[in-house]
Amino acid sequence: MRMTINLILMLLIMCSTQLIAQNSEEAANSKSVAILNKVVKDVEHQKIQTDDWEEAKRGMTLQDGHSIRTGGRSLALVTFLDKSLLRVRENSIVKIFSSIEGTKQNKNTQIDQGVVNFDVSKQQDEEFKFTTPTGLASIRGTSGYFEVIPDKTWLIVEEGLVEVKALSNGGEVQNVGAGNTAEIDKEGNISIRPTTEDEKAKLNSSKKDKTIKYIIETSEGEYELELFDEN
Amino acid sequence: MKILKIVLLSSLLLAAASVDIKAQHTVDLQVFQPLPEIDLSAFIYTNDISGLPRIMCFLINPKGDQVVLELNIEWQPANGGSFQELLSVVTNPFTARDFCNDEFGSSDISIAQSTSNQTAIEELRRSGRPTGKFRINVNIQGGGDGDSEIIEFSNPAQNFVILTPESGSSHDIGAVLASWEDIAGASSYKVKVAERSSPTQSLDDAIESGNPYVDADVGLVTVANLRTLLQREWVPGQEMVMQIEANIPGPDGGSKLFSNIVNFYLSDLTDGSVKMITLELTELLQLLDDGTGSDLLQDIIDNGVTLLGIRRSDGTPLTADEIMRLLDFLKNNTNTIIDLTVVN
Repeated sequence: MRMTINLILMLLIMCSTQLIAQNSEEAANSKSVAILNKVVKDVEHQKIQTDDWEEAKRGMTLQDGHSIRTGGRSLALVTFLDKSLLRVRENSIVKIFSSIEGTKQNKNTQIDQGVVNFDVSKQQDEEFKFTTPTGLASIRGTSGYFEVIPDKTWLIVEEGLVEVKALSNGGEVQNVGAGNTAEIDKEGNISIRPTTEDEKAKLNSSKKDKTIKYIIETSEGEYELELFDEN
Repeated sequence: MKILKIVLLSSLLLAAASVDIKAQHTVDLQVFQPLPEIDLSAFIYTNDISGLPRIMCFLINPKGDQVVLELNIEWQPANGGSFQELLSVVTNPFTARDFCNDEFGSSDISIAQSTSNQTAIEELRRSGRPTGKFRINVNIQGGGDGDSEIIEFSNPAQNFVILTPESGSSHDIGAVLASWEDIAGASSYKVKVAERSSPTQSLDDAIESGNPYVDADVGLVTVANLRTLLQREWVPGQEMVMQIEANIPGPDGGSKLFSNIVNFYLSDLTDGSVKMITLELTELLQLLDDGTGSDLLQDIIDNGVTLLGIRRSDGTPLTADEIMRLLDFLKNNTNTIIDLTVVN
């Protein structure tokens, strides 16, 4: 009789432990990992396990698996909990992943298309990765710029060091230092060269996230002109 | 005997009645409307002031007895609020008679005490448009019921208003036409123009602060080109404020009446630069192939709409050079443009 009671108690304890573990995992998975700090013009948000895109609003929190899509002349400013910053420029689609291993929170931003300027805080033992259709970049704390089309990825490294890996043809790995641009194509080729002046201009332009407005007065009425502030 | 009692009683009643009538004075206030001017200095009485503009009279009955008049003027601003006292006057005893306000301080109607609210009076004079309500209370001290009259009236639309430039308008630095309403009785006008240092500075502070750009007596004209009155050069991009002061002659130096204060901006847009800027804007809009600004482009091409200026969100206008630089930059950086929409 005593053995039966002990057995039942053990089973109950095991079930409870498992339930607690499952709940903790779900809680960790549903944890907010980033926030939409700014929304300019047309920005949409997609939750996991849904095909619907909804209008994104400033202050919206992003969880593991959430996506952001920007329209023409639009911008989404994403800030992670460690203050790492993504400026998702126009006509871009990105997906935010976050996995928790113990106390570490690893982040992976999947860029399907478009332009993303990044300013990643120094990562201690955590990972901050970017995945594109052609490559994978591991970042420890640096700033730069991604431009992504289905067949190619351009990575401009402004500061720090980025390890890039091609996703095809054996997965070539190279390090890209500050002041260099890496091109990763769908064949798995990685080419690294000094950043050109045009690319520097693109990099600088991608940092602009403040907006200003002007009123254009005409003989028939007024128009509002909204710009990204260059200052 | 009985008849004698009746006569005596009647006499006593008649005597009492006559004493009561003699003690009860009434004052009837007559305000001339419309008021000849909004010169509230007329209400600021002292024992020495005489010959002020006549705007109201006091009809006191019966006449001949010694009376003391109390006068109180209150003002309710046009934007509402409660009445606030402008001034209060009490005369010394004088022989009851009909008189007008310009006789206050004369030899027989001297002032025993007067108090005034200089802040409110200054506000009235400064605004130049005292369109609120005035309430004048007169009373004969020591009188019985009905000795006082209260008249409440709205101030007539005696607005000393600047006609041009309009508030918030932009003008070429080469010619800013100033015009204002003529004030009957004015002997000359003084034009004052100063710079407004920031959009947060009040117009009153701006007109009083700093070294004015224009501070000129222009005589009796009601139109002037400010460019010709400048004491020093102004530059495109500045925000200016202007006020006109009318001098109305009278004893003791006469009085002054101030207009409203308007603000305006300086630009250097000429007909030639307007055409060039409109052309630049057209070229810019044609570069935006995603439809941004298509409404404005269509207006320019199809309807001949011209660009009159561009101003910042704080209201300050861009100079012609600044507009050209902005448009040139945007032509080379079209991705900087977020949107261009009609302001409803």
